[in-house]
Amino acid sequence: MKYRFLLALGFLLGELHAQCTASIHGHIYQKDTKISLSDVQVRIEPLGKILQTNAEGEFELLNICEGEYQIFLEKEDFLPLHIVVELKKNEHFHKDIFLQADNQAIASVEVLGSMEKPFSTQTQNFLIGQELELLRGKTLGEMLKSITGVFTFNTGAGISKPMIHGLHSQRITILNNGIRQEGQQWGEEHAPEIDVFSAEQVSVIKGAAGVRYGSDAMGGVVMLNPLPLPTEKKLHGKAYLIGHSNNRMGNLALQIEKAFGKGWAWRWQGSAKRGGDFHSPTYVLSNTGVQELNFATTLGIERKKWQAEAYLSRYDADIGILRAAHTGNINDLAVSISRPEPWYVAPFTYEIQNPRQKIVHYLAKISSKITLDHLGTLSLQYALQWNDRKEFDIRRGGRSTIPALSLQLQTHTFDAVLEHHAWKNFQGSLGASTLWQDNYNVPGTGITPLLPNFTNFSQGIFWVERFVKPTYELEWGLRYDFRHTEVRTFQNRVRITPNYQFHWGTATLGYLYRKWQNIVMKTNFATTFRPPHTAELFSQGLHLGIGNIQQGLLFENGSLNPDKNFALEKSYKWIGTIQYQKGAWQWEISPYHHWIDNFIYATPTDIRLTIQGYFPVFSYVQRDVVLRGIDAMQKFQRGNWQWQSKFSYLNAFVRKNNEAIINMPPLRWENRWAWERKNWGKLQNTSFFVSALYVARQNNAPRVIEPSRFENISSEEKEQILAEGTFDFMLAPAGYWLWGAGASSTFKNLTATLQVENLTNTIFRDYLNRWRYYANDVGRNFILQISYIF
Amino acid sequence: MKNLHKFSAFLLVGAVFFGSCKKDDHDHNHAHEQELITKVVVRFSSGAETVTMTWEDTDGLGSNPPVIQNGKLKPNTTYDIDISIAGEGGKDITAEITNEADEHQVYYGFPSTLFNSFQYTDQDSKGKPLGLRAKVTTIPNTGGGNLQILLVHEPIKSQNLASTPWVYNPNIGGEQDFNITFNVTVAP
Repeated sequence: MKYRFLLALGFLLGELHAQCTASIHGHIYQKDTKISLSDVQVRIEPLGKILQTNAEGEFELLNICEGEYQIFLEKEDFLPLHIVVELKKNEHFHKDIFLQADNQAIASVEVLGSMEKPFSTQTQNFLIGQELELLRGKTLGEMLKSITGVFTFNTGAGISKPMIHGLHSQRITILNNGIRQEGQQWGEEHAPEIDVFSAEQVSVIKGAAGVRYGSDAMGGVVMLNPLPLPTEKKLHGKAYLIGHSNNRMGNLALQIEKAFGKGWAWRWQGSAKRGGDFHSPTYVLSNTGVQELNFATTLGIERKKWQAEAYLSRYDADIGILRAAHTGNINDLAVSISRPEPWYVAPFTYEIQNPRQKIVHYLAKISSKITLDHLGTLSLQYALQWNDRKEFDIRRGGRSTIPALSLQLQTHTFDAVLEHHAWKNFQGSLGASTLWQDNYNVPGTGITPLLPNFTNFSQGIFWVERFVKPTYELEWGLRYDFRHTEVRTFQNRVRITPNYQFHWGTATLGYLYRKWQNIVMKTNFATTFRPPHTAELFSQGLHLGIGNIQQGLLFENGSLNPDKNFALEKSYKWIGTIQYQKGAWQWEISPYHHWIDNFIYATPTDIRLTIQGYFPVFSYVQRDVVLRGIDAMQKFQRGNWQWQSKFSYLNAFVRKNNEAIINMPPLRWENRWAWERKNWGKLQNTSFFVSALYVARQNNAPRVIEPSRFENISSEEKEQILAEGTFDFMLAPAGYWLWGAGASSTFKNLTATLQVENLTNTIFRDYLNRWRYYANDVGRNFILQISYIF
Repeated sequence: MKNLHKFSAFLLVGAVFFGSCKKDDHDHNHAHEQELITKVVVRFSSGAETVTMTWEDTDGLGSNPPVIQNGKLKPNTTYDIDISIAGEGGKDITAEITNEADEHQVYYGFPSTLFNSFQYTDQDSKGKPLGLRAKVTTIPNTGGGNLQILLVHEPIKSQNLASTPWVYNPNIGGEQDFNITFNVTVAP
């Protein structure tokens, strides 16, 4: 079982050389939990060399001669370990090493995860340990925002979708506990249906990972994982109590776990959240309350050669939609833009009225890992997801209790992956995945559904391989996918069931170079093809809050033509990374260039007179676009002082005419200064920090056409507006600075943190918030967080 | 190993089964749009004379253009306005609005070349105007202009202007259920 985290460099030797070419590589874990340990001091004698393990718990010493070496391992709160290694000529020695925790001090150990790293040449960032703890109680999107290059596409403060390098929704894969999250992710106002408390390890792959995870991963992958199940028979757990002042939100979470012999263990985790209306600096954002009640439970068994796990989770949320933003009509939008504050402002309340969303998401999973002696590790997993989404509008004639949208999405996935044992310098895996999915509109809403009923069946097979040398790595992958979609809809009131078949291939190639001591360089190129989502093909209806009618790709002159031609989206993404670490400084710079052919997005194609007045019609079209940019991160640490700086910039445009693309992230620069002390009297991990966030105005935004111009528009004016391409109804909001501060400390098992966000109560609007037309963003917020580990 | 093969074969068969099980379900959710307003009829009556103007768009947000019937009014005449509203298939929606009078108001916009006076003749349970009925007097001479009529759902009626409660202003908020314009001629 020790070999299940086999991240070893190759055992076998390479070419013969006169000089010393042997090496030692180790991966250090905590003994009971098998969690990787960072910052372990590694002393190698007789060389007198002192190393530290990195964030993934690994260390490496290259270019040494044959002979006997003694390795001394030390880490605070762990029992020291001493091992002897007999190194042969040219041998690349690898060992997984387990450190026993010094039990009296266990509570204060900062645990770092042994996270999945599907690609070594991909740029992957992690949120772990204390950094993650400080973000508890936030939405998933807001949490991920602390990773450079990750933004959120928001509908107010309660609904936020992660956005990686300008892409979101169906162009990003979220893996929740190893299962691809399947909800109604096509909707801009549909947040991922995940309880953030269930994740102890969060990471983001910023390159295209379509080879491993399928076409939705063209923009990147978000991974959320719990820790491995415990091996200790004592009951352990963690409890959180969190309060937010801005929306008077309370958040409770509890996790308990225990092993009970013969390899069996269980975990239960639950969280509850209740928040009222958010406040902008000068007024209440009425009807923005939120309620959540979630749980997850795991039962697992681990034996010498195999392990199995059953997991069940339920996510249940009620989310209020800002009353003043729920307008279907361009005249209402004109009114909202002309007003300094929303037309509907009521006193603070916890009550959630219409418009609101009610979402329930179940995930049931069984998985197993089997070590096959001569082959490798085989992982099998089956999952069922059940997503029920109801959206309630303000309706006439007592229909407000009837959902205006009621969708049930059922998804079955089955994945099989074989990770073969390292052979010579090769490491890799082969896999297959199957998905069956059915989307169903529950009848009785009294409104023509935005998205038709459909069934998806898809199958994919992949192969990813790495060639690993001490100084460099080469990585490649191939994938083939097939998808069959059957849609059940109506054309001129006649039921039709058009079918679509898609076949496509995907490939990736990457290289990693680590010859120089302080520098690691990575480069990765990946292609991903993506067939359009049924929503992109068939949706038709009013886009609430944005004052326009949206039409799918299959619409021609305003009516549905299921046989209309369309193409797969073809993505080619290059991302490079340079990591540099020396002394007090640490740098990471990653530029990227993403070409997407046949990129599907909405652009104005008509201005239509209806009984509610004139509406611009935004139709999905396919254009060739470029998204390019750079992420940079810098860390400085000396003594107790720390300074961290994160920067990201993206430039996106349509290749043909350099036209701007709406809702692309503006430049962002974040700084954090902290003073930290590990032991201070009876306190541990005490820190004080100040943060400053700067977000610039998006200058590369579509031109502005005020909605009032559409009232009684002449046909010449109409032609002229459409000829000049895409537009937005309001100027991109001005840039802003937000300040924050906080303090955190641990006393025995208890950790308390007090933070304040938007310290100066700055009035601002954010370009990536769909409510920017209606209201200012959230004002000052104090957060008190108490956690207890037992 | 053998068992493992069996197990994966079983799962594969399962997957194929799921894929092939055709859902012969009742996708009869091409529901009648219960709230969609497709037709607004505005009747101007003065004694025995009635002028009817209609604004009709049967496909809602669809691409078919609306059919608008404008009208001609006589100068220096007092007309009673009476609005009726219909939905898909000609279903009457007027009663639904009258039943929820507190949550609705019809607003009017017109130039001084059209009417000399305007007055609501109906009200909700709180004494605020509803606006499906009104009384107007046309100008004494020949003229005309655009008459805009708005039905607003959940307006803040207390924000109505005291002297001209029929004029919509941004403080009133709410949502516009319809927003139509007629070209009205005033001539003998």
